[in-house]
Amino acid sequence: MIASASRLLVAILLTAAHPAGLRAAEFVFVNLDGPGEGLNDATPAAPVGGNPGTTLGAQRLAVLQKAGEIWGSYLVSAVPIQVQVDFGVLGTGVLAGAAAVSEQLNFQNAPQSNTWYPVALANSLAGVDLEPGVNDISITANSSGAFYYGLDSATPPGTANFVDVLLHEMGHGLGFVSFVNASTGNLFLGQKDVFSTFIRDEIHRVTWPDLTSAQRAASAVNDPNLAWDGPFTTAGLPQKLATQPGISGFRLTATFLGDFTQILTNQPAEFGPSVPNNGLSGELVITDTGFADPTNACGPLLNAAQVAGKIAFVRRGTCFFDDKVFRAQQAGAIAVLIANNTTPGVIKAGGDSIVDNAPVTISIPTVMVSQEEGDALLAASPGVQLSFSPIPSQFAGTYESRLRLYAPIFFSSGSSVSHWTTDASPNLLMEPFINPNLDRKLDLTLTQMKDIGWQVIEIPFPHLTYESWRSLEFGDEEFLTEPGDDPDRDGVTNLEEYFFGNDPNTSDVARLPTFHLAGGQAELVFTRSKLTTDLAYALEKSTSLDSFQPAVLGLDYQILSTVSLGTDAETVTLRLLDPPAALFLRLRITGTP
Amino acid sequence: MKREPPDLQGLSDEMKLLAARMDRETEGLKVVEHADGRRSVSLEGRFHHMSAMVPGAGGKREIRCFTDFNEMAAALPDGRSVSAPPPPSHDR
Repeated sequence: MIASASRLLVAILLTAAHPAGLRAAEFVFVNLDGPGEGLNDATPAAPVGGNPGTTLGAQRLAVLQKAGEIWGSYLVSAVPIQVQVDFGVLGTGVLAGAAAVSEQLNFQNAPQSNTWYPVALANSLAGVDLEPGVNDISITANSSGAFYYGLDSATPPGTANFVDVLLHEMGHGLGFVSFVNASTGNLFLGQKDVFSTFIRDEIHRVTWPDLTSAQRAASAVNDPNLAWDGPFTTAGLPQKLATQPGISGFRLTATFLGDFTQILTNQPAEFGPSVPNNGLSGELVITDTGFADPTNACGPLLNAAQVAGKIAFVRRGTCFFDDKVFRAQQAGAIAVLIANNTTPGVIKAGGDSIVDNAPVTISIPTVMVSQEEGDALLAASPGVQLSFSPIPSQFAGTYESRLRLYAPIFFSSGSSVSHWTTDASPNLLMEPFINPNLDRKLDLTLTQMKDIGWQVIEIPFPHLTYESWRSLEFGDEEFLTEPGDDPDRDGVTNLEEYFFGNDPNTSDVARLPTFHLAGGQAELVFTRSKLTTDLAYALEKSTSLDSFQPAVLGLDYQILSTVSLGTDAETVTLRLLDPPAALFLRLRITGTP
Repeated sequence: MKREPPDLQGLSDEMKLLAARMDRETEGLKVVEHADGRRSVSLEGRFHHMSAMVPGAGGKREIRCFTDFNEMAAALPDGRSVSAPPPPSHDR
């Protein structure tokens, strides 16, 4: 919730809808094909699906230009994006692919230092071509691919819509890609890449740069705990994803004597059941085998009576994970908590449910905590209470309030991490499977691009919070950025500028609301941003300025019209109904939960 | 979980080209330091994502985007498996 504000209406009508001077990105396709190949293929072709080309080469170029137009209608860059295109015979089934040609670090205007950016984005941010004479994106396509070259979505069965394939693959070239080595978890040439700075591991509750290489490698197979932590995408989720209440994981809380609580990592095991959807809680009991390492649970438990009905604490090591869990289960434990015996972090415990050469059924849930957390629990025991509480997710494909990334448990090296989860609904452009009927308005890919630093215009859905708007307008170093501040001294607070869709750094009172008579009818006209996700407004009235009461829609006023000003704002015209001789009105801007 | 380097023996020239495009190793990449403090690195044509039409569940064809050549080759209708799938974790 952010602070509320109100605006007494005294000003006049606004005008402009979009910031001036923004230049849509121009995609220039550079033909690398030889004579008669790819884009130079003169094989006659009948125009199809709005593609007017009469040769295969011409149709291919028309599709490339269509994909470039779509991306270019949203991305801003003063530097043309040079895309080299190379067709070849690539084998049955292969379609097309793309990548950035180079990565750039510590260039002028780079939002994050010591961070790799794809060159097209770096050029846009720097405002100059950092690699003159060198292309920015490389596209490789199969000249024998089963493509549909129509520009529409009427894709015949058994073919691939080339526009959709290009939109997806160009997305990778523009920045939807992690450069972390998935096998080792190592950063790209020792530095983070911009995409990976937004990858969040929900077990450790940090983004990838804050993990070790081993933790990142484990995180890549940590479904459903791998998510995108970009503010614009997160704010846009309610607009683009279906509501699908569910459970995205469990929060493990330890309560120590004295009611001190701590949230712990908890990595579920690959075997055995999950924690029940309604959660689970119980006392933690340290297992005792009587061995030199009494907590390893590699034999029958001596304190089975104490373990029964409780959550068993065991230490990693000596025997297999499922052996330990089976011993605790035999003692009557309701769950097992395995403490790691190495640093850092946790791993996903595996097992084949074979104990003493015989198959067993593991019927209690198992999670792992870190070595440090295990040590703390051991030191505080007895008297530690554990509670697994479900973490709700509201939208399809999310973890809490973040969109998940594709991270199947057995690393799908072909697709993991650099795609959205396949649980998202409706289907998104950057899922690993390029589905039919994709949204050619590029859905949440636009906000993802904005998250990594692209200036994106015309995003057709709300995706701003006050915090993200403040970051955009002021950066991190500015003062006077609180909702009640007025850095441009035009009498309009930041919160009001945010609501009206104005520039907080430029005095622009001309864009404030206006009150006037039209044909003898009193009308109130104001603009409002269509991008805010955390604001609402109410009209209030007063005859004396002493106190204001809510104006009632249908009784005190009616909404005459709502007219779009591009995708960012709209003009709202309200007509007052039977106003008294003297009346004061104000808009009250309020934050919404 | 371990990503295996592609075994290029027996592959057609086209598949070798694809393997090179989809290579994600950094070995041999050269970082250039510029006078203004900027650093850049050419990816040398590597790091491509590549989409392919592959048999999916129930035999239905689906379009999937791959990062790894091995997995794509294994999924292609007439591709060949160039590496075994990773075994499940069975640590202790």
